[in-house]
Amino acid sequence: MKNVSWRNLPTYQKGEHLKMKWCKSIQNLVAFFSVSLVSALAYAQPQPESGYNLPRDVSLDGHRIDWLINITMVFCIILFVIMCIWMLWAIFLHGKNHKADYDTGDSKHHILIACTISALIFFVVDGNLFYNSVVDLNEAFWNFEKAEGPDAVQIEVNGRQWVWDARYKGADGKFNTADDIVTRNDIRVPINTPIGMQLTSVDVIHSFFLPNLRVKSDAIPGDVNRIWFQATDTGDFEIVCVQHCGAAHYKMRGILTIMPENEYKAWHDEASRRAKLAFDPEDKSAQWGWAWEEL
Amino acid sequence: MDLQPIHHEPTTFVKKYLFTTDHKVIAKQFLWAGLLFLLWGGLLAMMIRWQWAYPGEKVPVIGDLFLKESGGAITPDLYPKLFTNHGLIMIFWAITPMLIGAFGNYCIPLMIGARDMAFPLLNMLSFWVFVLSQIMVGASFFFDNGAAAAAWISYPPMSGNIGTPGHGQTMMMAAIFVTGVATIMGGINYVTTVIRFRAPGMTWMRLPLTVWGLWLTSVLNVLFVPVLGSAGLLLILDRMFGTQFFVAGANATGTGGDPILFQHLFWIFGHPEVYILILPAWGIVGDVISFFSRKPAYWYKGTVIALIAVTVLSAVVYGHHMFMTGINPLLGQSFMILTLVISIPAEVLFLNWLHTMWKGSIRLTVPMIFALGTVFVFGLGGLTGIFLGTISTDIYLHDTMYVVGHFHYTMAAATFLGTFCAIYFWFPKMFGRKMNPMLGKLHFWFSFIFITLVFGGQLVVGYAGQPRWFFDPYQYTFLQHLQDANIKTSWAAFALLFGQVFFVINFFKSMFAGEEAGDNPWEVGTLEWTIPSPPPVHNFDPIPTVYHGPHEYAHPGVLEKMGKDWLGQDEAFDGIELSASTDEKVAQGA
Amino acid sequence: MSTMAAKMIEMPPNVAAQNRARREWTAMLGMIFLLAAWAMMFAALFFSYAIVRVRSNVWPPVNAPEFSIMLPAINSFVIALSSLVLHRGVSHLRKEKLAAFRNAFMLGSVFAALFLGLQWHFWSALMASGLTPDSGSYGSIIFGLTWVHAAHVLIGFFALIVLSIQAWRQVYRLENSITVRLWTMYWHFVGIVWLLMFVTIFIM
Ligand SMILES: [Cu+2]
Ligand SMILES: [Cu+2]
Repeated sequence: MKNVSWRNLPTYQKGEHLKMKWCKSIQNLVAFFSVSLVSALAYAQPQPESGYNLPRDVSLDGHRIDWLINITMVFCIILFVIMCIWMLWAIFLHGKNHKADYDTGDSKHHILIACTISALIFFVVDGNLFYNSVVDLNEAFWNFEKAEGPDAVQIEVNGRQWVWDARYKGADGKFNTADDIVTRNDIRVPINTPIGMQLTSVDVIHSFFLPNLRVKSDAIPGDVNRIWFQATDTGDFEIVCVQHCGAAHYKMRGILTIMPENEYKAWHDEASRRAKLAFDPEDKSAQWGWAWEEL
Repeated sequence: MDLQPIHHEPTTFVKKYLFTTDHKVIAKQFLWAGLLFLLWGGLLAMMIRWQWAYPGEKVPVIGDLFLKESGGAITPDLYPKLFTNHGLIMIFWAITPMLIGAFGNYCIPLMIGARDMAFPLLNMLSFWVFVLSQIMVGASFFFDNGAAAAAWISYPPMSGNIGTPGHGQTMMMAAIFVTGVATIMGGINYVTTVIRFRAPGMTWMRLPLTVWGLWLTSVLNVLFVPVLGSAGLLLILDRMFGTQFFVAGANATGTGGDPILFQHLFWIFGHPEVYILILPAWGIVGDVISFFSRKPAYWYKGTVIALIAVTVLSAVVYGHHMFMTGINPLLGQSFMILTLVISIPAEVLFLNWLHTMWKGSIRLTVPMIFALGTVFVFGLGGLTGIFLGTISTDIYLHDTMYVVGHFHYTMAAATFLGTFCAIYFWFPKMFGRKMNPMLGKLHFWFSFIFITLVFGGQLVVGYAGQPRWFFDPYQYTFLQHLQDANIKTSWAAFALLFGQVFFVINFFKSMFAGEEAGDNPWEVGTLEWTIPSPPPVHNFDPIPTVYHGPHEYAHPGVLEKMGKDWLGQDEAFDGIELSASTDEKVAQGA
Repeated sequence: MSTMAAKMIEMPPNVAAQNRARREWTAMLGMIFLLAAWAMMFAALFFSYAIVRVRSNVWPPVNAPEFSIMLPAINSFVIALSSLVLHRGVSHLRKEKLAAFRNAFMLGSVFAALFLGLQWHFWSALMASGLTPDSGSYGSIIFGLTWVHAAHVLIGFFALIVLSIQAWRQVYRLENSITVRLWTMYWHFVGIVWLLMFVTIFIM
């Protein structure tokens, strides 16, 4: 079976920003008038970002990470500024002309202050990090049960140099059968639905990163790792490999398309039907799937 | 027979400068070897920075010289070799030899009042084994398929025959093993020397913080470099003899090796390695801040306890590098809390440094500003680290440029500025001449400002999502707007390189034509400043007796009676810890 | 230690002996740290074995060729015996019974050679039975770990040869016995590692 790859992703060249904006408008037009879903997707383009913020978050739980990063950033900036002011002030006030105090800092009083400040910073800054991280992991990021039910969508992802292969169960509801949809650098998911993924690799270690959904996990040969997420907006977003995996690591780029649920269903049914037609039992290399690993 | 006999000064060139057992000469040898590889690693960094600013464009100068085949541009195939070798060279062949090899060798015997290392011959061997490893690094570039290209972490299968075929990668792993052997030899020497060769009266609680930092580093080196050795050895077996330690196989039939096994071994070493590199710098900074604030180091004991605590903790937190490998949740969360706990001793260190400055009489000498610069960049590095020690924030930040910025602040900026602090501080002792403070300050401002900007730029683009190890980040739409920031960061890096010119001029000019330094140009009290600059072969004659800690400044009694604001460790003074525990070590140097 | 040394420094006739004791203790300490480093290296190897073993559902793996652990068992005996012999040799040296000391070290060298020979034989037998270094993690563990260990035995073997020759020339007396004692320590260490290896990879 040939991998279903309907798009040729244009590579970026300098000065294409403008052109891409045009592309997007054309794409919208085409999407509007198109009779076939496939032709609409041929123009799919992720949106460029601007500024130095975290990339746009389109996930149900990503805000937890964003909040924790940003609140901790505020703490850190405060601490750092205090440190700098302390240093500068000391230099300014207690320079060459100041007579130094003979103070070894060994008094109980001083030690108590140092320990209290350290403990306070630890409990506030690190305590906040630890507590929220544990809560977030248990409630969201590592709560993989959320993407196990029949309402969720399960996808198997296989990394190889330098492609992300994705596999969906077909109409039979089972992995590694003739009607599996297999795509290449092209993952489609419905909006507002828990998506569970199992990741592995066949050659070297890759790492599957969805910046806009705040999920990441290594894809390791011989191991199956899990991620799950739920998208809150439609559109095209980039899939990034973030583990050095060879010369073309930087090109191991895929597109995650988040679709309205009905569109996803239409695409899935059609693709599964076609996949079954195109299934070639002789082509062992296309049968890399595995039975979904239960929790 | 004397315990530490006085050797005659060797007369032949070979014995004096090449195969010498004199720790001071070996220190200089390490310094030269390290500076040379610092330059090499630095040029590789510049090429990487060029690539991120102007991907695919011809590299000025270097491109004409070395990249003729590709018309002067960096190719996707060459690029991994650049970052792999940049990382490995900087860590193992630049920072380690300078901070640990050079200043460990130079400072430990002089500061504890010993005539040489415990095992001078082993010391010499350590240096020459190190040189062998450097030659191997050089050689690794000349094999088919070129130099190592599996990133400094060398994760298999990328570092196995599938990912990086050819002998270059194997050679690099072997070079790491060999330099590890050199490091362990040095480590054994340092650890034993401090335990056995302290001058009479030099109790543990009177050791300069520099010696504490170096000693703890050496303990970590002795215990954890062998783990890296094992990892490297197994990888070499996998590459050359077909074993399958790191090759994934079928678990069901029990024939599988495990790629993750390497990561365990690597980080069991790798996390302590971070502290191996920074502990000496912390020690040096702790001493230098006290020296030039002309005030006792604030809560010396607390600093020592904090250093020990960090050393111990560093051995049990390595899992934070593996949060994305599908780690067991409970294990992951244990590593997370242990990692965060490190911030307590780190805070104690910072508070002690700041308190030491407060109400001092601060002299902004060149070593002092480098020490303060170290505190500044390590502050940035430490604070940005807690985001990565926490699992949920690490989910987003892991393997982005944010990580690169963070660990460069700690392992590159802080160790780099710390190393230069040490060079400016001990140069007068090493070469008998002062360095030019004007050039030193220029060097500082260039280094400090631009090193902060370079790694700050990495934090910014990492926060915006740019992954590390990318030949051309702008292949991704969501990263295209970051090119401006990357260009600015790259120019900061080029300016950083340019700033080093001031150092090179200063270093060579001062060595031959600098002002005579005298025995104690900084007016500080540690033992190395009680002897001539440069010191004689046997250092001390006779071995001094130590009466108190290394940071006796601004004592009112001393000021009144002796008319100076400092007190040498070998000067007895009524009222300062006199005879408190002098009897304990009295026999050591006899 | 040092307070004790401090007191003893007041006894002039013993100064030389005390200084020797202190130098020996320094050398001993160096050896202890060296062995600590080596122990960490072997610990890492055992850790690797443990990880591979824990990951596998069956051990030894399905279809792994059977082999007899007779040779490793004999070797455990050989190396234990050699340690004993060297230990005796050192106590002979302490009493300056030079001939007995020499004989012990020569016997020790023979045992070391025997160990290496049997090990070589064992590897050939394994290969003949179809277990090779590249046959999965099982072969990797057995060959890899015993190779690394044998390399250390080889170093010890060379040292024993040199020591035996020097013993023959009567180089060693009590006052310079530290070299002999340190190498004996090293040999004991290598022996202990072997016994651990034997128990963990061949019996467990
Ligand atoms: Cu990759
Ligand atoms: Cu770490």
